[in-house]
Amino acid sequence: MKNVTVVVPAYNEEKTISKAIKILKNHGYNSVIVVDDGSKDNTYELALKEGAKVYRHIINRGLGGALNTGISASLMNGAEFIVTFDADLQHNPKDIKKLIDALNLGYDVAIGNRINKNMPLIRRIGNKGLDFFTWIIFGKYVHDTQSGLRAFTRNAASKINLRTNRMEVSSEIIREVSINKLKLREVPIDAIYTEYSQSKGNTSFIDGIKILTKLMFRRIME
Amino acid sequence: MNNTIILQVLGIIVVSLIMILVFRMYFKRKIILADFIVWEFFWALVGILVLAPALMTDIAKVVGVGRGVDAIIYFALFLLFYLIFKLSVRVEKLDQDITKVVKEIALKEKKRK
Repeated sequence: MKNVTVVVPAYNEEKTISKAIKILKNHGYNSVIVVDDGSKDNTYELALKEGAKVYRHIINRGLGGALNTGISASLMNGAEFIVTFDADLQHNPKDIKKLIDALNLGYDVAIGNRINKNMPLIRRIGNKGLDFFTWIIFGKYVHDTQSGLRAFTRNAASKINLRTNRMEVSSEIIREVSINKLKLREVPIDAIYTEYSQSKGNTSFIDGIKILTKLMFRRIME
Repeated sequence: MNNTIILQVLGIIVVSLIMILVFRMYFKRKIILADFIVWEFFWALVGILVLAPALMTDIAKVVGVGRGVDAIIYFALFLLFYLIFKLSVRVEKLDQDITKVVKEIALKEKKRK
């Protein structure tokens, strides 16, 4: 059994963070790294109490910054496989094993492809749009670029260089996979859309446009 | 005719002041050499055009815009867009640099404990 570290980026997630860490531990993932991205609530204290390794950003930097810190911390802690897991309980922890299996088969990166039919239409259209533009800008088509459940081998994680700060990081990861010629596996997973997870990670149309602009900057700044 | 001369004198004064300002900024190391050269060149050009406005009409004819004033407006718009673009890239870069700092602090703080 390889050393698996689960990275949970968290910003003001006091309602769900304890439960998220608990279910991860219940499924046998004892090495949990929480990146508290400058939360103003009790996320930090609660995560510590549940026995996670908690890294704290002094100011909020967004998903990209949090994942970047989490991945570096995992590498420093000697992780062989690194899994990213959203704190809002939208993922089924059983799906982690499917991603790990893909890595064991020789893939470098595995991304969970959310196939839940309950995904609200407007969100599905937005996500598809971002998948499309990720393809246009970075030249790689992935079915669910915005998915929060991913797994990397140690080698892949150390090659991936994340520079963007916010939600656009999801597409940036695809870019890095493509540029470093990493072997990517898309694995079908559940997505649990609770009222809470809906209100949290909701990417609006404006956010979508912002993500797009950032991606183009990323492209230009190469 | 008199009005034109007054405007030209005023224009030259303004342009000279700006050029001195740019020079001082470079002297105090607030801008880098490349920016200094570009800006001095740009304002020198403006100075020449103030002294010989007919030149602009010639340039406009060559570019195919017709009137000199039109050419100036097109050029100004282009310059503005370019500056805004440059500024946005710069802000994005700063944003990424802040993240690097925040990340380092998070990793170091954990190590100490």
